[in-house]
Amino acid sequence: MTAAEFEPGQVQRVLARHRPRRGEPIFRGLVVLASLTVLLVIAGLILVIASQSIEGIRHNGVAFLWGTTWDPVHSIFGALPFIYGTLLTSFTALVLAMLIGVGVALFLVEMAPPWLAGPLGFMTEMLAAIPSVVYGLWGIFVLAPWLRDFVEMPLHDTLGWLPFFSGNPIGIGNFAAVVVLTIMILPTVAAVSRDVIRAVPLAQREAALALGATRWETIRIGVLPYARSGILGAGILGLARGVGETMAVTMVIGNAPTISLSFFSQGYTMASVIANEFTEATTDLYRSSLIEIGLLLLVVTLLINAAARLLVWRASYSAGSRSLLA
Amino acid sequence: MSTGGTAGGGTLAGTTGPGAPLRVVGRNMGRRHATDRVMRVLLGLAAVLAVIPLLLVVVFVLAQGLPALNLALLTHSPEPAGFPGGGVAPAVVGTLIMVGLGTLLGTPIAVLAGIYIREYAGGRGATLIRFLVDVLAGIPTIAIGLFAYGLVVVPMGSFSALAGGVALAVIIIPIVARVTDEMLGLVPGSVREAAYALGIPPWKTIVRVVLPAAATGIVTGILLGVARIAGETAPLIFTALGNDRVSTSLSDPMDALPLRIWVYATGPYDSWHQQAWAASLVLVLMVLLFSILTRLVLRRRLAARA
Amino acid sequence: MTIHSRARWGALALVAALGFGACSASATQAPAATAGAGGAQASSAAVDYSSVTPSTTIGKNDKAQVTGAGSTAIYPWLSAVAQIYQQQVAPGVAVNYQAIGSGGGIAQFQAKTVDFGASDIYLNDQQMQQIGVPVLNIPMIHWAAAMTYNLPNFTGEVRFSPDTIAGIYLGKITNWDDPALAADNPGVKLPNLAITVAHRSDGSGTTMNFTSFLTDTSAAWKSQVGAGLSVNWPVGAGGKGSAGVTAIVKQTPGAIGYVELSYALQNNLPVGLVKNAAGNFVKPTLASTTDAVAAAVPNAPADLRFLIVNPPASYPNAYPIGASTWVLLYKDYPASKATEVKAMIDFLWWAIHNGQNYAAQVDYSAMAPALVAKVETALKSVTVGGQPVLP
Repeated sequence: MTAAEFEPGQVQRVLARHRPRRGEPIFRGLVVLASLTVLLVIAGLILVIASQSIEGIRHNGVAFLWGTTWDPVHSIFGALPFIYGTLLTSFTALVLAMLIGVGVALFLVEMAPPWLAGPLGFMTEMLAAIPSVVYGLWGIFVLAPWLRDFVEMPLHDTLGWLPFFSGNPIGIGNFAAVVVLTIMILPTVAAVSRDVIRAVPLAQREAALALGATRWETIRIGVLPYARSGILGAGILGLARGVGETMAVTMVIGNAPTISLSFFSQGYTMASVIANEFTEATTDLYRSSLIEIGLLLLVVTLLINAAARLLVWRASYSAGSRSLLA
Repeated sequence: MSTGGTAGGGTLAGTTGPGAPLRVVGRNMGRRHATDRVMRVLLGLAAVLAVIPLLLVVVFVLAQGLPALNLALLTHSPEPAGFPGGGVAPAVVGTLIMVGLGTLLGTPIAVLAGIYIREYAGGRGATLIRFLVDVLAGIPTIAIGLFAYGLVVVPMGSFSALAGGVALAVIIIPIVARVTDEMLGLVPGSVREAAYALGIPPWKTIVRVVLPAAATGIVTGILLGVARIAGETAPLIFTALGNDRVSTSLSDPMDALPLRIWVYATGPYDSWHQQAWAASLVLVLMVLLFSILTRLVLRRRLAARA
Repeated sequence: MTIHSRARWGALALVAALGFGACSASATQAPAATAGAGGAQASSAAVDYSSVTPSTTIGKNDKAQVTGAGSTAIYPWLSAVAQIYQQQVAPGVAVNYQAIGSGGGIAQFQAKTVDFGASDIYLNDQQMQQIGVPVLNIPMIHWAAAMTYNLPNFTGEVRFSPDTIAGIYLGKITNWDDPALAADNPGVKLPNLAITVAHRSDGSGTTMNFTSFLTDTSAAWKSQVGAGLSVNWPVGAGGKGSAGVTAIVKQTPGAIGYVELSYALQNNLPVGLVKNAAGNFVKPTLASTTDAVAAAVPNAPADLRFLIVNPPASYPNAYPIGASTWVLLYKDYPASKATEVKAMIDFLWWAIHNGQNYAAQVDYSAMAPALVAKVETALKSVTVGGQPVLP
């Protein structure tokens, strides 16, 4: 858009003031109403979920956050195993996805020739299009048995004395969940990072190259510092996706509320326990406690998302769009 | 990422003084080139690593799903548990109905909200609504399922396709709103000005001139949303519930392909596993097709702006 | 689906409808495969259920969709009879049964989001009170909770005493070559393989019956865990539904799980022998389950709420982890639901009579004959808007 053109909306506002018509207020009313609906949906979400978790909050108290026992029979509800499982899997997956995702983004923007960058970028984005439940199916029948036989067994035999690799490797467990989550977070991290890196002014690179820097040095001193906050935002967006991911994780993590350092151990996440137990909560308190986990999940993801949006927006508004589409 | 590695001497900003750049360049050429090569290989490796999962998933879905994919799968209802044969017709019908319902409910709101953001709201208003749209997009779909359960299932006293449709509508809104917003932004201001110059009021300009100009982009955005909600499982578990029989009633429980895949994948029967792969193939083909089409169009448009 | 299997179903249904009674359950084969076998009567077919005339309150043209949810244990049988009922009796009646677990059945029944619930455990007093309206617990069928396991290259039978099962599920016994297992299995060499414990991740009546049995027989279990629909498991991986537990066992060498018998047999998984009160190691079969039912039914209360786990030593051949599945009904339904309720009661009436003929074919024990009259009375007491549904 050139400077001579009007900002979108500017003309409408001026005209709407000076030349009132009957169609205009109606249409305006409609679009305002639609925007308010978005606000209402978010408010309604928080309200409906919060109001249904009051009973749980009242009974469980603050200890809900660090209680390690989830025992519906005796109405003892501690959410720590689920919080732990969510954090463990999400953060481990995030680290892996960041390493690979930022790597892909750098490769695509800084190194790959256009004939390769196009299809390659396209394929990483397609990772996000595969439905979660299909990753779960693949996780159960392909990934988990493979991990058990070719990764977990050897690790167990050689490094079994480490707490991370202790226990009985059966494929289904924290490790499989981490791998599946990494794959699912990856397109978000890669797509947003790519846009952020692309938005780095060419002059940054030219300056470094002019100093005789190698390609990698150009990236390291010219590109990365400039894109840092945007890449951080990409990571946080990925984290939000990982924390809220339900199906694929539910299908491969083993669904056991245990807190274990071992990657072979079965675990449970906040989203998974809701998916598994919600329809069968036999008491109001049980259901309310599950919804309380939902509330916690909602608040956490809202905060993570808000932070990520602000970081990414500062770098590039469209990058935010891409994360939505990726 | 750390900038204090072995080869370099700091960031550009940190290199001050006339001799500094030369020091960076002059030190240890051999090692620097070795590092460069290693890092370039690593970046290439990351790219390969990123593509492998997609290939693996698609290859397995094709290999396992194709043999079990036939017309009967799409036209027959499930047999009793453990019996061979049967199909996933209730899920195919259910997915079509609920995705249609979700799209019908969500899209008008989303497009209008997108119009408000781009054409009406001022700078702050636009930022606020954009922020809300992004926040809505980030809410876990399982939480949206809880919302629809409290909003529709409990008052109605029954699991229902309607509840599933409402949950899917909430998911599609931010996707379509965001795309609409972006696509309207691509329509040049001069188009609007030309219309105003003819005395056409703003709302008519938007409906008759701006929207048609952005229509392709918006429609592909809707398709992208459809592809996305067609694959959703979590928000349907305690809204649509599932159904072993073909049902078209909005007030009764309804099946969906992702739900059926979940049940069959976590079950023990070999015939279930085969059908889960075949149903996944149907879902993946549809989703990939929509996504590819969409991205081709959107990419061209977004690229045109850049 | 092939035309083939539908035809087989028809043939199977016809056999039963003609009053030949249940085919013998050849234990490890899928039901459809046994259809042509004919042959000896299973012990559970002592009563010729098909001689009872169905209520026929439903016409060929009535259309209704009945939604039920709950027990996964009953699912293989219920989904089979629901299909046969629709094919043969009432084409317009679609019974949609979702196997979400007994806990789910009870919860959704309480929340009044389903027409009927199904649970492998009857409602307790508190749960009945919570619903606020009178409800009925109607037993439909009996079955065995089998200990199933995955030991590659091991073809023998594994015997379990209650204390050993408790030890495994408490995490005290972690390998198949443990001395406790060796003591239960003299002369059998169990492999050196880590045990993976599989249990239900959802609220389950199978879990209730299984943990009731352990609570009855193991002091350690009683003090550390107790009995419930879902308990605080000390160890193990959770699978959703009987299907999920079966899937874990099937896919994990060294795994052990407890599932409704038909899930193990239909998936060609071995089942262990369990020591009963008489000190005998008993295999879960139709006969040994029927013995357990026989031990419990004479003492069954009028409200039909009773367990069949851990039968007394006077029944030396009874399998100790037997269970029943109840259908949960409201005593009175709103008049607006008249069509659905009429269809549902007609279906259930058919299921407790003709439907029992299919029990043995999917490895369930048919309803104890002594119970049938009581269950009929209970079904007849259901009303819609105050009017009885059945004459």
